[in-house]
Amino acid sequence: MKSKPITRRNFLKLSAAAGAVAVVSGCTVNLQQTEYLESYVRSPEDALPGEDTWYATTCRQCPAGCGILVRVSDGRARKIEGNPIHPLNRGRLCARGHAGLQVLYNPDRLRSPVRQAQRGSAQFEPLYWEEALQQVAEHLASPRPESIAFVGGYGTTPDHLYWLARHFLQALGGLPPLLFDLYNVVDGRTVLAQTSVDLFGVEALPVFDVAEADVVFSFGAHFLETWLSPVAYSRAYGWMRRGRAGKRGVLVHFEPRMSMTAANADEWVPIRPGSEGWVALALGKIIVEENLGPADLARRYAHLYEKVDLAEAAHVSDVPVEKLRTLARAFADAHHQVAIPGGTMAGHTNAPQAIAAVHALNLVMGQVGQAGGAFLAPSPPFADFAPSPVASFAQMQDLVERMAAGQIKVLFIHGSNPVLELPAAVRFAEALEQVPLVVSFSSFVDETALLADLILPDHTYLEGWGYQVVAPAMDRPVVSAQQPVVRPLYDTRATADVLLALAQQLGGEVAQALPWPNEVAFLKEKVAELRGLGVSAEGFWTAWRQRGGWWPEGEAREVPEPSAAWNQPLEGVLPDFSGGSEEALYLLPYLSTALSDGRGANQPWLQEMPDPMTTAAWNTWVEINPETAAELGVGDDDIVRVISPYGEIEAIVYLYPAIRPDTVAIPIGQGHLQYGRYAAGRGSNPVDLLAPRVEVRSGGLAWAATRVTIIPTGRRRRLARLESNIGVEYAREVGPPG
Amino acid sequence: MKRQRSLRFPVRWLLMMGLLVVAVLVASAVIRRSEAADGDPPSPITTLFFSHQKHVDAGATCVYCHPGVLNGAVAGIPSLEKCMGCHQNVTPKDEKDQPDIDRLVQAWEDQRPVQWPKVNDQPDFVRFSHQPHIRRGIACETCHGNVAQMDLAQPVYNLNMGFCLSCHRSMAVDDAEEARLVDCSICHK
Repeated sequence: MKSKPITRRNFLKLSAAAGAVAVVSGCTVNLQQTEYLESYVRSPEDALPGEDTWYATTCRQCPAGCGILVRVSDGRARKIEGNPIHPLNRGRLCARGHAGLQVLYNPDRLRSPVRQAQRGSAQFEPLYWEEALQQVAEHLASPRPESIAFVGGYGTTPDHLYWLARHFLQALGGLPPLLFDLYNVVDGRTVLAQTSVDLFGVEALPVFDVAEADVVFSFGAHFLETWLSPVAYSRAYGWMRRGRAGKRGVLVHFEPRMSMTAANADEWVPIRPGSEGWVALALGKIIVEENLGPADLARRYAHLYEKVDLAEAAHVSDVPVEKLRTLARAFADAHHQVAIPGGTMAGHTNAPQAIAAVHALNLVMGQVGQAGGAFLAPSPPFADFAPSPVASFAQMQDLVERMAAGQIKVLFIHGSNPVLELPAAVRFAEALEQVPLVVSFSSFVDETALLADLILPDHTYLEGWGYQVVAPAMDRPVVSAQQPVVRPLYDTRATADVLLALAQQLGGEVAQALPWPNEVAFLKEKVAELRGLGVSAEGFWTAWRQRGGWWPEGEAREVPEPSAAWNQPLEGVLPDFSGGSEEALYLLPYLSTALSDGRGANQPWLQEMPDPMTTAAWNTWVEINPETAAELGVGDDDIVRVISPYGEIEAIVYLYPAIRPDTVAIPIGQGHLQYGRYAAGRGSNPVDLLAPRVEVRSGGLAWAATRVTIIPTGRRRRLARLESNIGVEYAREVGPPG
Repeated sequence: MKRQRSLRFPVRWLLMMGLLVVAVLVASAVIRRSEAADGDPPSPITTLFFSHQKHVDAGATCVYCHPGVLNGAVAGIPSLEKCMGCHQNVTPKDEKDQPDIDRLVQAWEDQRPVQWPKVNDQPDFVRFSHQPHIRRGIACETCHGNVAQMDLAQPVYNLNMGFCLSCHRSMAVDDAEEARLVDCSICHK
């Protein structure tokens, strides 16, 4: 018999037959399987088999404090959605919020307290809680004054824990707790709050009624991505664009790089880094000169612009005078306009003056305290419910100095990762070596926890109690409630309970200062202050958990009152940069939309989420204008060294036509050495490059005030990205468009 | 002409088929193994002898272990915590049952869930809830048979559409209720 060769036809026949066999055998096996029900070991409270329960709680993935509802069925958290009645996000939620389940179910979570005999060795030995507490208590007995410190994260350390830690440290004679994390540094939280004190006499963040504005001028505010309260602002932005019949608001964005917010704008103006204030001054000057705004205000505030020279402003900002005139007229020619001082301007040494110049635009247009204008974030009318203070960079530097000098004996760290988040030049890790006992409460082994002696893991936010005074709240004050939606998965313990147990062990004054039997008793007592007349404490406690917090029914906006500071003329101050020669490139780090300041890097949903502008994921890239890249002799996917006088990192080149040729941008978020399998050893951390420069007025970190040089390494690595490289390669060959 | 030496068609065909089937089996085994990644909770115990009769004789009512029927769709099975609520104090009447109870205690100590074979089930396109039936005063035995007399729970009635409808028809107090109770959408999703 003649052998049949394997032809294409035969091969297809065979494949089809084999496939059919596989499917049939698979089906038969499944049909014969008995279905099994799996019992709980311990049944969750209120669990109704087969029925979902939705618990209202607070998102902790960024400092905004959005209300969330978590769908729980059979005792397992399955889905996170926005809480529709929460006044901040009104049912909306961002991708980071949705990914919160991957914090709860993360395979790299610590499952019990651990001890590390040698710091940095990553050799962890599990401990019983009693043992762990005993060890800490021994170090806390008879402390020297100011020798105990607590570093938390704003938004990651719940407010009740902040207050409890404060009582605890006060009783022990320690320093007040410091809440510091990179997210708030890049948002410009400290400098914005300080400017409000200077200009309006109130320590509150400014908020902007974007929803009702006709024209919005955003000075580097990434309010659709990460800035302060991106979900609330995105919702307002949607309303501004198409919520009102026959009216579509206009957005103009000033920033050296096209961010996602800039991409959504009608016009993106690529100004020189640090010149936001100069643009605002020029616009104000033109409005007053040409009498474009309300006449009385133009007269009253004309003195503000006495010292402004249009030609100089145009030169500093790299925006021609004619262009500035067109923009000023567009801004003034509307019923409701608002100018927003954003995060990128807060990273410069001239931040306070620049922010004042932007606020002045609202003032001369009469838009302070008006619909579609600028307000201050309202706070609950209870002294104990002011937002927890955010520590400035200068305060952290002070702490590092004390640590290095051997003055700190015990350091507690909760919800913050200073080793990664402070510029390398601050030398936090070195100072840590001088602290005899470092206790981390992290759920994961992050870079700071790796240098701790003990890790006493707190519950994740979906398993724990707490509350957050929302800052900035938009149209009314909000205290957002946090409650466990599932039982703790592992042998973790609430940090508040750890502090209470320590206080009991220490006895004496400390035990008296913290008399609560457990975290919930403290929390109940604390939030009971919020209940109205005629509401029982228990009734309020139930409503608090059901609704997801406390807020007034009606709008309660905070109208700013201009202070005496407005009697002085405004001044343009040039930004000051560290590092490199005049030819060096401005470094503009920005918070990754997905990973934010790096805390999202251990969640694979966020890692794989493409950056909205570059479509890149899973790595660190440096955005370079094609012109600059051509001069440097580098192209897409080339690995380059980015060098500042303070550090050096490697990153993959992404040719980005939408960035100024004198600027390079690097997303923050990667560069973890630890922090679990999804984060570790991936990309690099641009914060390592930053000069430890302090903005003098607020003590904030001037994180955009560093210049860098770029050197090719000759190596290449393809950046994972959704968009095709082909168009980009072609553009490189033919040169930039136009 | 010398014939080329090669496998004949049917042999080759069978060989390739065999290889493909082996490949599919290996792949599925690999996938199943990788599903049980490290760090997962301990795998459940599948065989634990349980007698309904002995528990009912000892005084447990149906809703003591299956309280889900009072408030929801599904009866549910008790947690190990509930089992241990009694079994940490109660000793069995029959010593032969002790090994099974020991295994229960072991499962509790290991915090390891127990798997129970599903006895009664409804297809996914049926919307069934215990709660309204219990509220109407229908006894568990009406649909599940006399489980109190069974060692191993067994399905007694074929819980199909005819079974449901016969009851829905006969129990309706008036025409309006009957019309409502036999409406397709009352049971079908």
